[in-house]
Amino acid sequence: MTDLKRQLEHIREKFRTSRLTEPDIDAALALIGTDKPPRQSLLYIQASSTHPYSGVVGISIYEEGKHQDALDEKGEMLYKSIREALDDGWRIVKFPEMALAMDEQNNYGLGYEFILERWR
Amino acid sequence: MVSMPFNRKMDCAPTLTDKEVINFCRNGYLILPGVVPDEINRRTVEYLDTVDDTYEPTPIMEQDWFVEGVLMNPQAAGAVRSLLGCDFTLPAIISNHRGALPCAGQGWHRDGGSVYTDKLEYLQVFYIPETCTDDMGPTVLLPGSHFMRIKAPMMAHLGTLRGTVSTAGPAGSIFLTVYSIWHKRSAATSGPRGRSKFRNLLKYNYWRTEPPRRDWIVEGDIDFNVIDFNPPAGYFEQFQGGLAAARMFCWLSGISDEYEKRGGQCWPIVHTVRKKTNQMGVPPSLANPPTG
Repeated sequence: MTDLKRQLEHIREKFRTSRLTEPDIDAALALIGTDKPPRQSLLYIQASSTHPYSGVVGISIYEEGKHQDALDEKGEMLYKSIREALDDGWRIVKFPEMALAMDEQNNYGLGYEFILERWR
Repeated sequence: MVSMPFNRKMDCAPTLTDKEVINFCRNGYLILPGVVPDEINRRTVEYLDTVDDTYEPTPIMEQDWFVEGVLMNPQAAGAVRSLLGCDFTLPAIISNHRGALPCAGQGWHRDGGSVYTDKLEYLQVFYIPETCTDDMGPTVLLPGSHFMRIKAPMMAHLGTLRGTVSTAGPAGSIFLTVYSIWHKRSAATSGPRGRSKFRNLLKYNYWRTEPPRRDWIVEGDIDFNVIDFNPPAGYFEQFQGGLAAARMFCWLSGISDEYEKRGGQCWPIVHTVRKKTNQMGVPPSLANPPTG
Protein backbone atom coordinates (compact mmCIF):
# COMPACT_ATOMS: atom_id res chain seq x y z
CA MET A 1 0.00 0.00 0.00
CA THR A 2 1.32 3.46 -0.85
CA ASP A 3 1.83 6.13 1.80
CA LEU A 4 -0.75 8.35 0.12
CA LYS A 5 -3.38 5.61 0.10
CA ARG A 6 -2.63 4.87 3.73
CA GLN A 7 -3.09 8.55 4.65
CA LEU A 8 -6.37 8.79 2.71
CA GLU A 9 -7.75 5.79 4.54
CA HIS A 10 -6.69 7.46 7.79
CA ILE A 11 -8.53 10.62 6.75
CA ARG A 12 -11.70 8.67 5.86
CA GLU A 13 -11.67 7.00 9.24
CA LYS A 14 -11.28 10.34 11.05
CA PHE A 15 -13.99 11.90 8.87
CA ARG A 16 -16.43 9.14 9.81
CA THR A 17 -15.80 9.82 13.50
CA SER A 18 -15.85 13.62 13.07
CA ARG A 19 -12.21 13.95 14.13
CA LEU A 20 -10.79 15.14 10.79
CA THR A 21 -8.46 18.13 11.01
CA GLU A 22 -6.84 20.40 8.45
CA PRO A 23 -3.30 19.00 9.17
CA ASP A 24 -4.60 15.53 8.23
CA ILE A 25 -5.51 16.87 4.78
CA ASP A 26 -2.21 18.78 4.51
CA ALA A 27 -0.36 15.54 5.23
CA ALA A 28 -2.15 13.85 2.36
CA LEU A 29 -1.42 16.73 -0.01
CA ALA A 30 2.26 16.59 0.92
CA LEU A 31 2.43 12.94 -0.15
CA ILE A 32 1.22 13.62 -3.70
CA GLY A 33 4.02 12.98 -6.17
CA THR A 34 6.33 11.32 -3.67
CA ASP A 35 5.24 7.74 -4.43
CA LYS A 36 7.75 5.56 -6.28
CA PRO A 37 6.46 5.05 -9.83
CA PRO A 38 5.53 1.45 -10.61
CA ARG A 39 8.19 -0.60 -12.36
CA GLN A 40 7.80 -3.01 -15.22
CA SER A 41 8.45 -6.65 -14.37
CA LEU A 42 9.19 -9.09 -17.16
CA LEU A 43 8.48 -12.81 -17.43
CA TYR A 44 9.94 -14.90 -20.28
CA ILE A 45 8.28 -18.22 -20.94
CA GLN A 46 9.49 -20.70 -23.55
CA ALA A 47 6.44 -22.81 -24.30
CA SER A 48 5.82 -26.05 -26.14
CA SER A 49 3.57 -24.41 -28.75
CA THR A 50 2.05 -21.08 -29.74
CA HIS A 51 -1.12 -21.83 -27.74
CA PRO A 52 -1.52 -19.09 -25.09
CA TYR A 53 -2.21 -21.69 -22.40
CA SER A 54 0.79 -23.90 -23.34
CA GLY A 55 2.98 -25.77 -20.89
CA VAL A 56 6.27 -24.19 -19.86
CA VAL A 57 9.58 -25.52 -21.23
CA GLY A 58 11.72 -22.70 -19.85
CA ILE A 59 11.14 -19.71 -17.61
CA SER A 60 12.93 -16.63 -16.30
CA ILE A 61 11.71 -13.60 -14.39
CA TYR A 62 12.99 -10.06 -14.03
CA GLU A 63 11.19 -8.60 -11.01
CA GLU A 64 12.54 -6.85 -7.94
CA GLY A 65 13.15 -9.34 -5.15
CA LYS A 66 13.01 -12.42 -7.35
CA HIS A 67 15.86 -14.54 -8.73
CA GLN A 68 16.10 -14.80 -12.51
CA ASP A 69 15.67 -18.59 -12.34
CA ALA A 70 11.97 -18.19 -11.40
CA LEU A 71 11.80 -21.08 -8.95
CA ASP A 72 9.51 -21.35 -5.93
CA GLU A 73 10.61 -22.46 -2.45
CA LYS A 74 10.28 -26.12 -3.51
CA GLY A 75 12.60 -25.59 -6.48
CA GLU A 76 9.70 -25.85 -8.95
CA MET A 77 9.07 -23.43 -11.79
CA LEU A 78 6.92 -20.50 -10.61
CA TYR A 79 4.39 -21.27 -13.35
CA LYS A 80 3.75 -24.57 -15.11
CA SER A 81 1.78 -22.97 -17.92
CA ILE A 82 1.25 -19.56 -19.46
CA ARG A 83 -2.31 -19.70 -18.14
CA GLU A 84 -1.03 -19.85 -14.54
CA ALA A 85 1.01 -16.71 -15.21
CA LEU A 86 -1.99 -14.92 -16.70
CA ASP A 87 -4.04 -15.88 -13.64
CA ASP A 88 -1.34 -14.31 -11.48
CA GLY A 89 -1.67 -10.91 -13.10
CA TRP A 90 0.78 -11.11 -16.01
CA ARG A 91 -0.20 -9.99 -19.50
CA ILE A 92 1.38 -11.08 -22.76
CA VAL A 93 3.23 -8.27 -24.51
CA LYS A 94 5.00 -10.32 -27.18
CA PHE A 95 3.95 -13.47 -28.96
CA PRO A 96 6.44 -15.99 -30.39
CA GLU A 97 8.42 -15.27 -33.55
CA MET A 98 7.55 -18.00 -36.01
CA ALA A 99 9.52 -17.25 -39.15
CA LEU A 100 12.39 -19.54 -38.15
CA ALA A 101 10.03 -22.37 -37.22
CA MET A 102 9.16 -22.66 -40.93
CA ASP A 103 12.59 -24.13 -41.72
CA GLU A 104 11.88 -27.84 -42.28
CA GLN A 105 15.51 -28.97 -42.02
CA ASN A 106 16.74 -27.28 -38.85
CA ASN A 107 15.70 -26.51 -35.29
CA TYR A 108 15.94 -23.05 -33.78
CA GLY A 109 15.99 -21.94 -30.17
CA LEU A 110 13.92 -23.39 -27.35
CA GLY A 111 10.22 -23.78 -28.14
CA TYR A 112 7.97 -20.74 -28.59
CA GLU A 113 8.81 -17.72 -26.50
CA PHE A 114 6.18 -15.48 -24.90
CA ILE A 115 7.14 -12.28 -23.07
CA LEU A 116 4.79 -11.10 -20.32
CA GLU A 117 4.76 -8.02 -18.12
CA ARG A 118 3.20 -6.68 -14.96
CA TRP A 119 3.74 -3.40 -13.11
CA ARG A 120 4.62 -3.15 -9.43
CA MET B 1 58.44 -36.13 -19.56
CA VAL B 2 56.68 -36.31 -22.93
CA SER B 3 57.94 -33.89 -25.55
CA MET B 4 55.48 -31.70 -27.45
CA PRO B 5 52.32 -33.79 -27.26
CA PHE B 6 50.17 -30.96 -28.60
CA ASN B 7 48.04 -32.06 -31.58
CA ARG B 8 49.86 -35.40 -31.64
CA LYS B 9 47.94 -38.14 -33.45
CA MET B 10 46.91 -41.00 -31.20
CA ASP B 11 45.05 -44.27 -31.53
CA CYS B 12 43.59 -46.87 -29.21
CA ALA B 13 40.79 -49.41 -29.16
CA PRO B 14 37.24 -48.04 -29.45
CA THR B 15 35.01 -48.71 -26.45
CA LEU B 16 31.56 -47.54 -27.53
CA THR B 17 28.94 -49.76 -29.15
CA ASP B 18 26.46 -48.82 -31.87
CA LYS B 19 23.78 -47.99 -29.29
CA GLU B 20 26.20 -45.91 -27.22
CA VAL B 21 27.21 -43.92 -30.30
CA ILE B 22 23.52 -43.36 -31.11
CA ASN B 23 22.91 -42.19 -27.54
CA PHE B 24 25.77 -39.72 -27.90
CA CYS B 25 24.14 -38.41 -31.08
CA ARG B 26 20.78 -38.08 -29.27
CA ASN B 27 22.08 -36.51 -26.06
CA GLY B 28 25.10 -34.54 -27.27
CA TYR B 29 27.15 -35.72 -24.29
CA LEU B 30 28.55 -38.77 -22.52
CA ILE B 31 29.52 -38.82 -18.83
CA LEU B 32 32.18 -41.28 -17.62
CA PRO B 33 32.06 -41.12 -13.81
CA GLY B 34 35.28 -41.55 -11.85
CA VAL B 35 37.37 -43.11 -14.63
CA VAL B 36 40.67 -41.40 -13.74
CA PRO B 37 42.62 -43.06 -10.89
CA ASP B 38 42.91 -41.24 -7.56
CA GLU B 39 46.69 -40.84 -7.84
CA ILE B 40 46.36 -38.99 -11.17
CA ASN B 41 43.57 -36.83 -9.74
CA ARG B 42 45.77 -35.95 -6.77
CA ARG B 43 48.73 -35.04 -8.96
CA THR B 44 46.50 -32.94 -11.21
CA VAL B 45 45.09 -30.92 -8.31
CA GLU B 46 48.57 -30.45 -6.89
CA TYR B 47 49.82 -29.23 -10.27
CA LEU B 48 46.93 -26.78 -10.62
CA ASP B 49 47.40 -25.46 -7.09
CA THR B 50 51.19 -25.22 -6.99
CA VAL B 51 52.60 -25.11 -10.54
CA ASP B 52 50.06 -23.45 -12.83
CA ASP B 53 46.85 -21.86 -11.55
CA THR B 54 46.18 -19.94 -14.77
CA TYR B 55 43.18 -20.14 -17.06
CA GLU B 56 45.26 -22.14 -19.54
CA PRO B 57 47.60 -24.61 -17.80
CA THR B 58 48.44 -26.19 -21.16
CA PRO B 59 51.98 -27.20 -20.09
CA ILE B 60 50.38 -29.88 -17.90
CA MET B 61 50.30 -31.85 -21.18
CA GLU B 62 54.08 -32.15 -20.94
CA GLN B 63 53.61 -34.44 -17.94
CA ASP B 64 53.49 -38.03 -19.14
CA TRP B 65 51.30 -39.08 -16.21
CA PHE B 66 48.68 -36.54 -17.35
CA VAL B 67 48.74 -37.67 -20.98
CA GLU B 68 48.52 -41.33 -20.04
CA GLY B 69 46.14 -41.00 -17.08
CA VAL B 70 43.76 -38.33 -18.35
CA LEU B 71 44.04 -37.55 -22.06
CA MET B 72 44.66 -41.17 -23.02
CA ASN B 73 42.68 -42.64 -20.14
CA PRO B 74 41.47 -45.94 -21.59
CA GLN B 75 37.76 -45.31 -21.13
CA ALA B 76 37.84 -41.65 -22.16
CA ALA B 77 40.20 -42.13 -25.10
CA GLY B 78 38.25 -45.23 -26.13
CA ALA B 79 35.10 -43.12 -26.33
CA VAL B 80 36.98 -40.40 -28.24
CA ARG B 81 38.36 -43.05 -30.63
CA SER B 82 34.83 -44.39 -31.16
CA LEU B 83 33.46 -40.97 -32.09
CA LEU B 84 36.41 -39.40 -33.93
CA GLY B 85 37.97 -42.45 -35.56
CA CYS B 86 41.58 -43.58 -35.55
CA ASP B 87 44.47 -41.12 -35.39
CA PHE B 88 42.51 -38.48 -33.51
CA THR B 89 44.66 -35.66 -32.17
CA LEU B 90 45.46 -34.76 -28.63
CA PRO B 91 44.41 -31.20 -27.63
CA ALA B 92 46.36 -28.09 -28.55
CA ILE B 93 45.40 -26.25 -25.38
CA ILE B 94 44.01 -27.07 -21.96
CA SER B 95 41.70 -24.59 -20.24
CA ASN B 96 40.86 -24.63 -16.55
CA HIS B 97 37.59 -23.17 -15.33
CA ARG B 98 38.94 -22.67 -11.85
CA GLY B 99 36.11 -21.26 -9.78
CA ALA B 100 36.31 -20.00 -6.22
CA LEU B 101 33.84 -21.60 -3.83
CA PRO B 102 31.19 -20.32 -3.38
CA CYS B 103 30.42 -18.33 -6.52
CA ALA B 104 27.50 -17.25 -8.69
CA GLY B 105 26.33 -19.34 -11.61
CA GLN B 106 26.70 -18.51 -15.29
CA GLY B 107 24.00 -17.84 -17.82
CA TRP B 108 23.11 -20.41 -20.46
CA HIS B 109 25.41 -20.28 -23.45
CA ARG B 110 27.03 -22.23 -26.25
CA ASP B 111 30.77 -21.79 -26.60
CA GLY B 112 32.27 -19.39 -29.09
CA GLY B 113 33.03 -20.95 -32.46
CA SER B 114 30.00 -23.24 -32.41
CA VAL B 115 28.58 -24.39 -35.71
CA TYR B 116 25.56 -26.61 -36.28
CA THR B 117 26.36 -29.55 -38.48
CA ASP B 118 25.95 -33.32 -38.75
CA LYS B 119 29.73 -33.57 -38.94
CA LEU B 120 31.43 -34.49 -35.68
CA GLU B 121 34.93 -33.21 -36.44
CA TYR B 122 35.95 -32.56 -32.82
CA LEU B 123 34.87 -33.18 -29.24
CA GLN B 124 34.87 -30.84 -26.29
CA VAL B 125 35.88 -32.83 -23.23
CA PHE B 126 35.82 -31.91 -19.53
CA TYR B 127 37.71 -33.47 -16.63
CA ILE B 128 36.89 -33.04 -12.90
CA PRO B 129 39.96 -33.94 -10.80
CA GLU B 130 38.07 -33.61 -7.50
CA THR B 131 34.57 -34.66 -6.53
CA CYS B 132 32.04 -32.04 -7.58
CA THR B 133 28.69 -32.08 -5.83
CA ASP B 134 25.59 -30.17 -6.91
CA ASP B 135 26.32 -27.38 -4.43
CA MET B 136 29.82 -26.90 -5.87
CA GLY B 137 28.59 -25.41 -9.12
CA PRO B 138 28.89 -28.29 -11.60
CA THR B 139 28.35 -27.70 -15.29
CA VAL B 140 24.72 -28.24 -16.29
CA LEU B 141 23.82 -29.39 -19.81
CA LEU B 142 20.62 -29.40 -21.85
CA PRO B 143 20.52 -32.78 -23.64
CA GLY B 144 19.69 -32.54 -27.33
CA SER B 145 20.47 -28.83 -27.50
CA HIS B 146 23.39 -29.40 -29.87
CA PHE B 147 20.69 -29.46 -32.56
CA MET B 148 18.98 -26.25 -31.34
CA ARG B 149 20.40 -23.33 -33.29
CA ILE B 150 20.91 -20.12 -31.37
CA LYS B 151 23.47 -17.39 -30.74
CA ALA B 152 25.02 -17.06 -27.29
CA PRO B 153 23.98 -13.39 -26.84
CA MET B 154 20.37 -14.44 -27.55
CA MET B 155 20.45 -16.80 -24.55
CA ALA B 156 21.26 -14.21 -21.89
CA HIS B 157 17.66 -13.92 -20.64
CA LEU B 158 17.14 -17.67 -20.19
CA GLY B 159 16.65 -19.02 -16.67
CA THR B 160 15.32 -22.43 -15.65
CA LEU B 161 14.97 -24.99 -18.45
CA ARG B 162 13.14 -28.28 -18.27
CA GLY B 163 15.16 -31.52 -18.67
CA THR B 164 18.65 -30.31 -17.80
CA VAL B 165 21.38 -32.68 -16.58
CA SER B 166 23.98 -32.01 -13.90
CA THR B 167 27.54 -33.23 -14.45
CA ALA B 168 28.20 -33.47 -10.71
CA GLY B 169 30.28 -36.55 -10.12
CA PRO B 170 33.11 -38.23 -8.27
CA ALA B 171 36.77 -37.25 -8.66
CA GLY B 172 38.17 -38.41 -11.96
CA SER B 173 34.97 -37.96 -13.96
CA ILE B 174 35.28 -37.07 -17.62
CA PHE B 175 32.47 -35.95 -19.88
CA LEU B 176 32.51 -35.65 -23.65
CA THR B 177 30.27 -33.16 -25.45
CA VAL B 178 29.28 -31.96 -28.89
CA TYR B 179 30.83 -28.51 -28.91
CA SER B 180 27.60 -26.60 -29.55
CA ILE B 181 25.63 -28.08 -26.61
CA TRP B 182 23.89 -25.52 -24.37
CA HIS B 183 25.52 -25.43 -20.95
CA LYS B 184 26.35 -23.27 -17.96
CA ARG B 185 28.11 -23.38 -14.65
CA SER B 186 25.48 -23.64 -11.92
CA ALA B 187 25.73 -21.55 -8.76
CA ALA B 188 28.14 -22.86 -6.12
CA THR B 189 26.72 -22.45 -2.64
CA SER B 190 29.29 -24.50 -0.76
CA GLY B 191 32.67 -23.48 0.54
CA PRO B 192 35.88 -25.37 -0.31
CA ARG B 193 35.55 -29.13 0.11
CA GLY B 194 38.59 -30.93 -1.24
CA ARG B 195 42.33 -30.39 -1.28
CA SER B 196 41.96 -27.40 -3.58
CA LYS B 197 40.09 -24.31 -2.49
CA PHE B 198 38.71 -24.17 -6.02
CA ARG B 199 36.49 -26.20 -8.27
CA ASN B 200 38.86 -27.12 -11.08
CA LEU B 201 37.32 -28.11 -14.40
CA LEU B 202 39.75 -28.83 -17.22
CA LYS B 203 38.42 -28.43 -20.76
CA TYR B 204 40.05 -29.44 -24.03
CA ASN B 205 39.29 -30.55 -27.59
CA TYR B 206 40.25 -33.62 -29.58
CA TRP B 207 40.08 -33.51 -33.39
CA ARG B 208 39.31 -36.02 -36.12
CA THR B 209 41.90 -36.62 -38.85
CA GLU B 210 40.32 -39.52 -40.72
CA PRO B 211 37.02 -39.69 -42.64
CA PRO B 212 34.20 -41.15 -40.56
CA ARG B 213 33.25 -44.81 -40.72
CA ARG B 214 31.46 -47.27 -38.48
CA ASP B 215 34.58 -48.61 -36.82
CA TRP B 216 33.48 -48.54 -33.19
CA ILE B 217 32.17 -51.75 -31.54
CA VAL B 218 29.62 -53.00 -34.06
CA GLU B 219 26.67 -54.87 -32.59
CA GLY B 220 26.00 -57.71 -34.99
CA ASP B 221 22.35 -58.19 -34.09
CA ILE B 222 21.32 -54.55 -33.87
CA ASP B 223 18.09 -53.51 -35.63
CA PHE B 224 18.33 -49.81 -36.53
CA ASN B 225 14.62 -49.78 -37.37
CA VAL B 226 13.43 -50.13 -33.78
CA ILE B 227 15.73 -47.58 -32.14
CA ASP B 228 14.37 -44.28 -30.85
CA PHE B 229 16.71 -41.54 -32.08
CA ASN B 230 14.77 -38.71 -30.38
CA PRO B 231 16.75 -36.66 -27.84
CA PRO B 232 15.39 -37.15 -24.32
CA ALA B 233 15.10 -33.40 -23.70
CA GLY B 234 15.50 -30.08 -25.40
CA TYR B 235 12.53 -28.94 -27.38
CA PHE B 236 11.75 -30.05 -30.91
CA GLU B 237 8.76 -30.22 -33.17
CA GLN B 238 7.70 -33.88 -33.21
CA PHE B 239 10.46 -36.15 -34.65
CA GLN B 240 12.76 -33.28 -35.69
CA GLY B 241 15.31 -34.01 -32.95
CA GLY B 242 15.37 -37.70 -33.87
CA LEU B 243 15.88 -36.87 -37.54
CA ALA B 244 18.83 -34.64 -36.64
CA ALA B 245 20.38 -37.38 -34.48
CA ALA B 246 19.93 -39.92 -37.29
CA ARG B 247 21.70 -37.58 -39.73
CA MET B 248 24.62 -37.28 -37.32
CA PHE B 249 24.78 -41.06 -36.86
CA CYS B 250 24.76 -41.59 -40.63
CA TRP B 251 27.59 -39.09 -41.04
CA LEU B 252 29.58 -40.84 -38.31
CA SER B 253 28.95 -44.15 -40.06
CA GLY B 254 30.28 -42.70 -43.32
CA ILE B 255 26.95 -43.22 -45.10
CA SER B 256 25.56 -39.70 -45.40
CA ASP B 257 24.97 -40.33 -49.08
CA GLU B 258 22.60 -43.19 -48.19
CA TYR B 259 20.31 -41.06 -46.02
CA GLU B 260 17.63 -38.69 -47.18
CA LYS B 261 14.81 -37.24 -45.09
CA ARG B 262 11.93 -38.16 -47.35
CA GLY B 263 9.16 -36.81 -45.10
CA GLY B 264 6.18 -38.58 -43.60
CA GLN B 265 6.75 -41.80 -41.70
CA CYS B 266 10.27 -42.40 -42.99
CA TRP B 267 13.23 -43.77 -41.04
CA PRO B 268 13.90 -43.30 -38.12
CA ILE B 269 10.48 -41.94 -37.11
CA VAL B 270 8.44 -45.16 -36.90
CA HIS B 271 10.68 -47.12 -34.55
CA THR B 272 7.63 -49.04 -33.34
CA VAL B 273 7.66 -51.25 -36.44
CA ARG B 274 7.76 -54.98 -35.83
CA LYS B 275 11.27 -56.30 -35.37
CA LYS B 276 13.20 -56.96 -38.59
CA THR B 277 10.80 -54.78 -40.59
CA ASN B 278 12.61 -52.10 -42.55
CA GLN B 279 11.23 -48.58 -42.32
CA MET B 280 10.91 -46.61 -45.56
CA GLY B 281 14.12 -44.73 -46.23
CA VAL B 282 16.38 -46.69 -43.88
CA PRO B 283 19.92 -46.42 -45.26
CA PRO B 284 20.82 -49.71 -47.01
CA SER B 285 23.91 -50.15 -44.81
CA LEU B 286 21.68 -50.06 -41.72
CA ALA B 287 18.79 -52.08 -43.09
CA ASN B 288 17.84 -55.60 -42.06
CA PRO B 289 18.62 -58.23 -44.69
CA PRO B 290 15.66 -59.46 -46.72
CA THR B 291 13.85 -62.38 -45.10
CA GLY B 292 12.83 -65.61 -46.78
